[in-house]
Amino acid sequence: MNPNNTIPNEEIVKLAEKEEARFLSILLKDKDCISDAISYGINPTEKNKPGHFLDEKNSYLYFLIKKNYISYGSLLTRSAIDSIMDMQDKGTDEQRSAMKTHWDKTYNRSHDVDKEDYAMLRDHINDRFLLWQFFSIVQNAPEIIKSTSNHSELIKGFLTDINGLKNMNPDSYSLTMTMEEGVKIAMEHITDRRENPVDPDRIKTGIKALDDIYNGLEKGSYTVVSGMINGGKTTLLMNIGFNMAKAGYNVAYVSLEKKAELFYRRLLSLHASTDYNRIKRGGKEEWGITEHWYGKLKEAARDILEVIKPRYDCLQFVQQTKLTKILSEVDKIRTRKSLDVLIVDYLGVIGFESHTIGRPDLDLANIHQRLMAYGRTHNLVTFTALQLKSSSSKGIREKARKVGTDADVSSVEVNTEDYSGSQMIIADADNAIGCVLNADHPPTKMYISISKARDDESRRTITLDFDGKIGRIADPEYTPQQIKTTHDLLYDSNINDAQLEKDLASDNDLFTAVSNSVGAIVKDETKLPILTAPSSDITDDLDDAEPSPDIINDLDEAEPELVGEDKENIVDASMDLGDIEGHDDDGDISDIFGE
Amino acid sequence: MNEEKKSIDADPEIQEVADIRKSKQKALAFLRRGKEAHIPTEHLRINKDQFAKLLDPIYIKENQKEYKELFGDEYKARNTKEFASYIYDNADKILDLNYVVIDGGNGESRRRAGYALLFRLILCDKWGMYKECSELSHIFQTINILENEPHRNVLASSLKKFGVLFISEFYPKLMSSHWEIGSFFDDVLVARRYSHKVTIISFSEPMTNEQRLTDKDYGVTFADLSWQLKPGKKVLRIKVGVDESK
Repeated sequence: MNPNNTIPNEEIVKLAEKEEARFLSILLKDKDCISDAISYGINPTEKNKPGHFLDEKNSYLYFLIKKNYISYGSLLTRSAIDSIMDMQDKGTDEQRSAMKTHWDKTYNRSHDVDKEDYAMLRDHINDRFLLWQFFSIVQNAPEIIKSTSNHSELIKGFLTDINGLKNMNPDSYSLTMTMEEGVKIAMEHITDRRENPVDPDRIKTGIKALDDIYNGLEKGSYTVVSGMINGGKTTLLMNIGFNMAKAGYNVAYVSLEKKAELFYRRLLSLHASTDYNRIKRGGKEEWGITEHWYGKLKEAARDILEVIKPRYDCLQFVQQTKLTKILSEVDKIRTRKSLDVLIVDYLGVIGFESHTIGRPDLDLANIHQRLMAYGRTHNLVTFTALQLKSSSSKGIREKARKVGTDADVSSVEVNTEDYSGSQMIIADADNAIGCVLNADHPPTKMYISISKARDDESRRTITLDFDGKIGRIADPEYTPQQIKTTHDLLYDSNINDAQLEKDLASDNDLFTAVSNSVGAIVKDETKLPILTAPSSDITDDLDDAEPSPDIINDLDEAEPELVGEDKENIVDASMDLGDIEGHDDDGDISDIFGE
Repeated sequence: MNEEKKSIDADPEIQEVADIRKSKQKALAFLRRGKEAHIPTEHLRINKDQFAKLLDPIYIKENQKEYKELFGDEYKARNTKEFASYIYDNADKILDLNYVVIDGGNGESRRRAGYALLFRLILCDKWGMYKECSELSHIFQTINILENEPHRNVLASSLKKFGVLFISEFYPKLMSSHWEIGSFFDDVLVARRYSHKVTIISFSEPMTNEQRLTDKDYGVTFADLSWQLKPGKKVLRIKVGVDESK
């Protein structure tokens, strides 16, 4: 609200003065209420954007409370005022002193402050904000009456302004539907579906095997993807997100482990079918970014930017960032353009905003519920990832090792009890998918176990092709020509075994092979780069990196203190995650994408 | 939303590169599976010509009718080269069988034939394992856990799961009913048969009617397999000679 343009209603102004102070008094003492107020859309006045508060000091105090909470997850103390105002480079000493006095007055208000009144106060403040916006618009109405022409445009503009009232429906999801309304809407939907088989409310993953099961994911749905450490979760999410973005949907990928820059490098690598190791090694030599591969990468970049133009934004945060901050950044994207898909990678490293003693699983469940509510409210297809329990991982990995025939694939099952964290997460989720890489070195397949779907009959395990070097997960395909090529490569008696293994692991000859139809294996050993064996610097990184401790995978068993200590370790390890190859428990290199 | 846009994904060169990349990825995986199956490196990639040289040409000629019964009318091989070609080009048919039984020649040629088939079946996207019969007998006869070896129950359980299993050099003197060796082999082989997983077995002594095993010391399965000289239902019998490639 703008104090220079207040509503000409003394009663409202007096009520505002009292209620804003009570409201802020609660926010100075309760983090849950701060979090709620932010999610609800309560805003201070900033630059030219009007906010919810009539009183300037109240508005600025709320600004400080919100800023402090988003930055540090804590309540605004009196002493913090100096630091925050320093950060903003605002305020003379007098102004700071005045703000501290205002803090004192607000904080010490106790006679009419009760947390039970929070929701009522919030709603009243929001209502007055709406009223003020309405008043500002209606003030221009006499001009429309006085005008002599262009009435329809002026009235349209007036109606657009009315329809654009901010925070009109802060809780647009909640409603009560009568039987009559519900059945009518259901029949309309059924009739529409009958006429239009393509359901606009469902978004396909681009992986046929998954789409055959889910028939696309419904807007507002929440899907949990689980897997072992370095089990391909991130690769799967990245592929699904890219497929959806290529299909024209707006996708936001929240990465709490990898930098945005790294994300896009890998995306280019995927789109150009280029071994990511080439980018890591660099240079123009045969094992680096050769002319051919450089050309392919440039072509892929041009293709993405000029032809396909997928809307695939990446938001980068450090581990332990609070969900409130993450969602406020996602909100910024939503204000610029509509958002269809939100991918959060991954749930287990988001900072807790509640602290239930001895029950970090409940704190994680709280984050999950808020994320799910956000996705439902804004009609997004939401994905997140969780690790599997360490106690389950070994058994599942063993099953994946023992897949001898197609019939054995069904034995690779990830059940809802295998997911880490609270069972509430899986109970609430619409869909749960477990992903497990097969035992090849490097893995060639990913088994997807449908742990939860709306339809129980959908529960099964499917097999997808996995290529860790380029980060691709796709429907399984092994054509007769590919089979022939594979056999010809293996049975070529002109090459000794050691040489063959090196040649097969290299993609040096791929373009030559295209012109020769069967791989023209480079026979000169001195020229052949070794691309499979990791370079010693990468191995050293692995030796030094702190693997995610098992305790994080078993949040329902974790001690809060231990979780805290280990979380610090994870933050340290994350600094090198961009350069580190994935590795399994045996220390072998699996794939570069890891999770 | 948008229809599929034409992009580099549709570029034929990228498609072909992707195909070859996949072929190489598979080839590397199969090569490593072969090593994990304990196929010795020098016997890892026996091609059809090399396999043909291992075979006994007389046996193939004399059992044309029986092979045709086993494989159907499209089987037309008349010599070792054609037989080897047929096996290599129709390896998926071997996967439908219960057993492949090898005898004749010497230990080395029998093993080589087994390695060749094992690897060829691994190329049908299976996981395989090679074990010496004597090694298995030693573990199966031991109630306690041996150092660096799994317990016999654990071993038996794991052997049931491989897509393809090659047990080489079965000979009767390995077996003893007192130590339940035959029972363990039966447990593994019968379970594999019921779950449609093929097992390759080489016999160190020639299979003849006179030498058929009747004593149940050897387990029912070995006994049954040992005496049917002709290729039978769901059993492919191969006789090898001495390895001519050496």
